Amino acid sequence: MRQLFELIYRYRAFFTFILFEVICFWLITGTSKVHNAAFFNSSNNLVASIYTMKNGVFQYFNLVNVNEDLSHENAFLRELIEKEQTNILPSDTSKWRLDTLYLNPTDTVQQYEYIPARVINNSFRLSDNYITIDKGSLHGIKADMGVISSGGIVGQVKVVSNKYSTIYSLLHSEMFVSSMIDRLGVFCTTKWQGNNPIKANLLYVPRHVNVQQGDSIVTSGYNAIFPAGIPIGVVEAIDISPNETFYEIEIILSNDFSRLSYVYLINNKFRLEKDSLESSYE
Amino acid sequence: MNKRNIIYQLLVFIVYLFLQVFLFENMVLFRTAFCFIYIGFIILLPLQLSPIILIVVAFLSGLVVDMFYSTPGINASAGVFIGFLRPYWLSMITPRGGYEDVNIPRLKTLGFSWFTKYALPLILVHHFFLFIVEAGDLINFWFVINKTIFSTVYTYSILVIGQYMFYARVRYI
Repeated sequence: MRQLFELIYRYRAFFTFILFEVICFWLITGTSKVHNAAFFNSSNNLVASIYTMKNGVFQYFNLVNVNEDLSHENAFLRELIEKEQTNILPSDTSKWRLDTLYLNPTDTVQQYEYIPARVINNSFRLSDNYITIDKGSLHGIKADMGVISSGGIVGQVKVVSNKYSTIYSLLHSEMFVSSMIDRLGVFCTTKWQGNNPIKANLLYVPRHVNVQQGDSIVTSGYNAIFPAGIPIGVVEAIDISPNETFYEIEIILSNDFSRLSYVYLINNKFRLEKDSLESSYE
Repeated sequence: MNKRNIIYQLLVFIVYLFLQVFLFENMVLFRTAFCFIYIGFIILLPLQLSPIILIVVAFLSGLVVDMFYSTPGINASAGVFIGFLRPYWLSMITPRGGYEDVNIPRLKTLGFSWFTKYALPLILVHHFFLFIVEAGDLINFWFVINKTIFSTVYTYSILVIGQYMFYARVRYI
């Protein structure tokens, strides 16, 4: 017994090393609850307030881009309103007629609610990237909400603290996004390649589908996280080896992750209903 | 180690942390070269520190950096690894005069060639460990190797520039 203690004492540095590496890998693998605790993430209050300070300085350098993106988005939304209005009321007044359907504004249900937030930290060059924003559970943000920006899809909320949240960027090895080839209505999955922040792969597109360069990829709306039709990217390169079932497709992401400034969080009000309905089959 | 030294080291760590978070987190060159300047703190801790304390300090400093990067455990594991290797590496490359009168293994006290021999392998090992753990698989292996090599050169250059900038020329040997 004494010899055992002597052995442990002699190699105490080695045993301490092993102990701490075990702790580290326990943290990394995410088997622990700690992995998703706000304290160990950038949504930690102290860390996030330091990032807010940093962002307070650096955001001024981005203002030109932010304004440009906002004006593009405004133009897009104005066009949308214009189209809707022409659909409802034809310009020729003689075609106007009374409708028997009475629509009370409170009868319509808005499924998706959008919460704007400012990006205070953003990484896009690591293997697993995260984004920190300045809104948290006090503003109604919950884990697993979808995140988009004017350019398209951004990611999904990982953890929230009171005032801040950490978001899985789309540029993360564990992000799989249910998507659709817009022109053909074919469902597939988008996954980041791991090294280039402007490109991603499109998985599970069967070989009978006639994909073409330039086809746009949007979210499918099959999961309860993103509404259908949010842009993801555009097909760039298509390849298929003779005995493969699926294409190897590379897409250019529509969002420029290097200049994210403002994002919208998506609150799906029907999510609970959908999830409980789907889980009842299992 | 007395109280004054501990407070001094704590301040040094805060300086490294601020440099890391405010400056070098954004300064990634050519998508491949990352600067993890905070490991300069682990490399430049006093020689008299016991191996166990060294590992604990390396773990804690890595964990703090992890909080900023939202990667719990990754920087900490790489930090613990070089914290463990440092005493063995130091005893393997003992200069002719030994480490007498040397408190902190700085460039100006032990010379450029010794410092390179000391710091470069530790940075290389740290970065390789960090990037391989971060990638989590070997799909992008050559990209990891690329990142390791360029980042090592980058971190080492910044560390040496810092040594020349902040420490006056005093030779003890």
